[in-house]
Amino acid sequence: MAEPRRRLLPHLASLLLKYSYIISMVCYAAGLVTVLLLPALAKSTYISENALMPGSANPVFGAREAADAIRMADEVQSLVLKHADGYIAVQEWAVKHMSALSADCYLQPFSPPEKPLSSMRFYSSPQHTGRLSQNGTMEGIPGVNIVGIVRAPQAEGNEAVVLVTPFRVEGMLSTGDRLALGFGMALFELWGNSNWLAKDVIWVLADSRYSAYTAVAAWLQEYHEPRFDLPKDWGFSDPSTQAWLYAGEKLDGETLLDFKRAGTIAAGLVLYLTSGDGGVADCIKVSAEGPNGQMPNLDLINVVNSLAVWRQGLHMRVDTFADMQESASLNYLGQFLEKIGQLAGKVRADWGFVLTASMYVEGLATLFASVKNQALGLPTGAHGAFRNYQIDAVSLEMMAGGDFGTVNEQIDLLTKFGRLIEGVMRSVNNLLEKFHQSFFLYLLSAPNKFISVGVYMIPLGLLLLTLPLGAAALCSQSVKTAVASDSLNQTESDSTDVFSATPGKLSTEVVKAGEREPDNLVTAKTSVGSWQRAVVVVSVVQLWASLTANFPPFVSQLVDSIMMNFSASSKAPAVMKFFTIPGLKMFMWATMAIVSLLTMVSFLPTPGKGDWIAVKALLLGVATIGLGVMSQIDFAVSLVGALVLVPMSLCACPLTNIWGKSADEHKGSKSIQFRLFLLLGTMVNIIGSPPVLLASAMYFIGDSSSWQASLSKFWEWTELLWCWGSALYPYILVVHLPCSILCIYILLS
Amino acid sequence: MRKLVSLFLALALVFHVIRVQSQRLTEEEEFSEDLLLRPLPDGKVLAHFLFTNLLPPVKSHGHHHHRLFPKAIYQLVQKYHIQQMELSFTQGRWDYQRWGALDPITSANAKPIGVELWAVFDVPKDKVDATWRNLTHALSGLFCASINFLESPAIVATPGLQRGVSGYLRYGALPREAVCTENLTPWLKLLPCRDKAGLTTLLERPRIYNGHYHSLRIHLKSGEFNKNGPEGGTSLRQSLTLVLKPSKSAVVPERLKSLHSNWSLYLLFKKSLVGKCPLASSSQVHLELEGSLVKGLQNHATTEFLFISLWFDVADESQIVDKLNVVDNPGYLLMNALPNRILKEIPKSEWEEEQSVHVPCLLLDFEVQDYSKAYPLNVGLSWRAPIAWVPRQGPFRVTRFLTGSGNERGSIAIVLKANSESYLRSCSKFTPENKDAQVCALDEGASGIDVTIFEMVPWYVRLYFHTLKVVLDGQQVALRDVAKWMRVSPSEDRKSPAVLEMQLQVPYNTSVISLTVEFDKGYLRIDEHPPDANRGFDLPSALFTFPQLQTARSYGFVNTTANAVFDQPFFQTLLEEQLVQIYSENLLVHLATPDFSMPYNVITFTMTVLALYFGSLLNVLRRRLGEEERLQAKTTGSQHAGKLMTLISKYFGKRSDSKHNVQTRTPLLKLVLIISVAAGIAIYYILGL
Repeated sequence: MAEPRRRLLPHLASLLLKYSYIISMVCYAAGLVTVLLLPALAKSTYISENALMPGSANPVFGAREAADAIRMADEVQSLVLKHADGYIAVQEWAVKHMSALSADCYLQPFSPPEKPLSSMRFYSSPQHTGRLSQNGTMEGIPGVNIVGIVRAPQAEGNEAVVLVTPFRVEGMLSTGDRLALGFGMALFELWGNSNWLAKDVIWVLADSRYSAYTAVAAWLQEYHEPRFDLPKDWGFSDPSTQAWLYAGEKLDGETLLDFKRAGTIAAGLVLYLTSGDGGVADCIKVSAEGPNGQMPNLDLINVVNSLAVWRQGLHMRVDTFADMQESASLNYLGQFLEKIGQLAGKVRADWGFVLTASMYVEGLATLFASVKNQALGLPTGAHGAFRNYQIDAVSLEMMAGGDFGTVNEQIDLLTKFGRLIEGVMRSVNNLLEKFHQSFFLYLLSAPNKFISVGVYMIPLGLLLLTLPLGAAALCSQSVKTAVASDSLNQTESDSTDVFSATPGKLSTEVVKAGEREPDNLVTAKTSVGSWQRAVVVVSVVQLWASLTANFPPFVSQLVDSIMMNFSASSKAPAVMKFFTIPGLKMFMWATMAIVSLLTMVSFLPTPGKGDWIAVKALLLGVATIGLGVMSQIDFAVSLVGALVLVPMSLCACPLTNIWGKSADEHKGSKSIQFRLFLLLGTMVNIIGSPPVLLASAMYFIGDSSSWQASLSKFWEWTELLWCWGSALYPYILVVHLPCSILCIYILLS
Repeated sequence: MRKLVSLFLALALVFHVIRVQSQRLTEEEEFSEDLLLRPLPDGKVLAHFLFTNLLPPVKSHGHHHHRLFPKAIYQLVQKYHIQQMELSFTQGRWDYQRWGALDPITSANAKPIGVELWAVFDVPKDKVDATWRNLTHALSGLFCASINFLESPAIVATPGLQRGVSGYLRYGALPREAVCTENLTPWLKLLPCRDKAGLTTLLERPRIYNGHYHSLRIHLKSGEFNKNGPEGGTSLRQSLTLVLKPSKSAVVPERLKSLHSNWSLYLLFKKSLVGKCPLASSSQVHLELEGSLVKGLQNHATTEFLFISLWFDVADESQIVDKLNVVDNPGYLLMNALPNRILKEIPKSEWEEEQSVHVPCLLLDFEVQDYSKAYPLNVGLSWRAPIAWVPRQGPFRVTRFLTGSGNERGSIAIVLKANSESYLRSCSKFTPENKDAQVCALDEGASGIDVTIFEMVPWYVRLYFHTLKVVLDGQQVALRDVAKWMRVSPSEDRKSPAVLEMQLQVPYNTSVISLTVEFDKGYLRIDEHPPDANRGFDLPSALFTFPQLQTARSYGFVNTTANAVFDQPFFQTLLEEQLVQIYSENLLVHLATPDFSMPYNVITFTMTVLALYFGSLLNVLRRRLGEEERLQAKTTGSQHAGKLMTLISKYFGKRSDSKHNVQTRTPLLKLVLIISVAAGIAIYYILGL
């Protein structure tokens, strides 16, 4: 009778577990390399939706329209300078011109943004806009959006395209805003007189006295979620504003406040005009990142790109890290990749890829900026407000090469931009269906290069693979050590050689051992006990983390109410010598977190000797789940998080293992190299632990002049993340924080 | 009791049902053609072509060879026992605010986008659906349109209240139907002169389809199938309503920029009118000046301006409407033609006459037969002063929109906002200092403004009627406080649409009425999606009527107050009392749409998994342990023959002969089995989906 055949899959599994450390390291390294290789894997963009047909029609926007735009820009500026309230001047100007076109127009007052952290809403709704309270009052001066609608002559009117030009009046309009308004009006007139429109065009002149986002979000909210049951009292303190808004009744019986709609919004374009930042050529910068890394359909960016580059000869840019492009090490890497590409091309012609070092570095810088923008979870402009209603929108920042020099230069510039915007509008107008053909999940590594979800999932997959592998290895190891320590205590008469058994067979061996020796059952029980304790530890830390994540609104309200009391008694409390209010809030929050952590830890069961293995296995499991869930909410957060969290949690092991006498001597593997290895891991752990991370963050984002300033900076960041509903906030507090606390727990056990 | 009667009347009048029908009983077939032109406040021009075909009753005149009446239509009437039918093809939106809502022409011809069809049949109840189905197919063939889609009961409503009609009513709408010349040509074929002579020669296709509004309409009424025996003959009214924008001349001096563009028939249609259709009994062009426009002109008139036109009786000069001269005045110049007669609107009631605000409309008639090729009719207006006026608007302006986002749920909101210029309001005079003013134009005893709403929603938008909320001026009110009556028929999946009919009565001083009803978005099967499903799904327009308001306009000679009766069908049409009706815009709902390439992916993916499963299963089932061992022994034996050979066979996939022999048939069998199973499942999937 031959030996029992070894089954393939269990054998492979056992091999995997046996070499899990090496495999983990290889996987992690491969993940890192893949992240760095992403620019080389990027594909060129292409127009996926045939109906868009960019550039198929010749734009009619010409020098005459551009001259009109400049004339109207001057007109609005002179009106603003004359009028006491510049915003009303802009409103009057816009209403006059739009009515002359017999286009629909109206004004939409909106309340200022509500105070951050004044409510517990986090995921429920975009909360950047204030809502009227039940009695219809609010604080602050309301902003007023001006909206005009060109009705497409022969269309059904159930689809629309939105054009947004934010403006701000500070005594006068800035050159960019002034030109943007004139430019918008020229386009509006062009569309008002055209007969090719199939979708209505809505032009929103967003009053960005608070921010462009607030204005656009307020308008979109009224468009999609109007409240009929709230009496609207806009509390304009200024009587002239009141008079203009309410008495400005138009001839056909409507008031200027009559909100009008134009059907489903197909796309949104937010236009900014700025003078150049030292660039030579006229260029156009596209920002597309919405809340939590949501991107508009890639086709929209493609259309802008193809029209700007191929039709108008404009340079197109996306956000990038400029200083990264000078980095010497990245340049070496780029040259190395270039060599590899050439070499591969020599071996087989179709393997080769042309990627010059400068292209690679540029791609990497852009990619990292893209990842950063997505990971922060804050929209990069007013277009983010559209994404909350599943509307594809981008911000186009049109930058003049020079400084808006002469009128001729302006005309030349506006002609180019006008033809571009008209072309984009024609493309979107051609669209029969909504945007659905191209990608929604992608990263940009250049304006015309993208990395789709199928590619960028690979590095995350490689990184995440290591965690369950490590957990499984630890799990089998913990059972093994339990059995081993137990059987060592037993008589040697037992012939079962536990160690020679492959890990895959461990469970059966344990059961066998248990059957044979009643004492082994006790061992299994102690092992189970360590798992129970580990579960308690992990859940307590998780619970603490989720509680801590919900503290900020309470802390904020608490401090505010205390301050209110003190301000009533007109006596500043002693603490205010040390803290600013945000700093105090941050300090309170940190104190509450630490105190509650210490309280909770004091209730933990006393750890056993080998408990850390079970805790680490659970930690790895929790980290996998956390990162996996985060990747669904915001991929970039998950990718960046995995780069830090994976080595941290994999390398966690008790400090005693490094110097002290090893607990499991039978392993005999306490070589210098092993200890060095452990030391390295511990270093990684220390670097990744919250205090170090905080300190480094303080160094980078806070001004390092004083720790109080940094504290307030931290609080401001927390407020920001909370109010935008960024996925980074739950990641840091619910995934990263408990995991690093557990790492410290392991280090100290 | 009185309330009940008025309620009944209101019910009876929702669907164009003509209360005062003073249709002439003709002895002969008669055909007439009319063109109404009306300048609109935003500089555009309304052109309304009306072709009327009258057929005397068959019973009294016997079946005869039709000379003028289109045979195709007559056969429809005979075959499907149609009492009334209306079909409209519309492109573009009617702008109720700028183009008016209250006069007979706009109220009847402002139609929802796409195709709308309703018909009243005189057939037994169980045959109504079949008759409707056949009618849709017949019309589909007749007008080259996909009216046959209306055969599906899932998008056809049966308005619950029969509204004084003795037959059975069916209503359907296709909001996505595109309208083009393909529909116009068959429509023209129904006319005796086609487009060879008469007014139809104006219909230059590129011009009429480039306008802002285009509505082809057919209205058919037959007295042949009344329950109480035939009364009246059959009448067919074909109308084409256009709103055209006169092209601006390229260079306009700055001082003239505020003026409306000049227009004439030739400028609008690029054709001139050279004569009437020889078969038409009358052929007229009417130029209508709205009351508010006349008022605007009056305000603009100056005292020194007094032009006495030649064809007015000099004695009657003082009677000419308030010194306004219709041909040449400071406001405009009538170009190229002089009217054959000038008519003035006769106020409907004494109250209206008393109102100083109310200025009658003017109608200038031109007889087409007076013009010829040598002297074509090319009437037009040349503006001289910027005159702004507001058309007669309905009591409310209506918007309907969707709220919410996402593919799961949403709500339909209807908002009615009061028009301050409204006829009804100017009448009710609800000013703070005059709260107890007599409510005049309305029936006595009416306690508020009545609004009826008819809304039909396809089944895949699942309305929850219990969420219906009515908010008046920001105050939510209970439905029973405002609803006079309400009829709701919930939808049934793939069988019938949800229909909401209700009549609200709101106080006069209500300025905003909003209704919301929530819905869930349903799922469609993959084959139920139309092409371009990602565009979304159109919901037909809702219809709003105001039972207290009727549109009817009668004209008399300028110098008399007597109600002269003109018996041309055009004036008869104006005289008919109809309810003011306003259509809302149609809506676009995005449903969760599958990725249509996905079934392919699903099939390939499932097939791969199944293939793996079947492969390993077969492997297990067909393995013979004994044989395997024997083989193993053999291979170990053959190892002695040379390690090199085994290595080679390993790398080049060649196996030793003995192994080869055993396994030859297995993969083939496996393959056949897997392929057949896979094919079976694939077929099942494709058919099932």
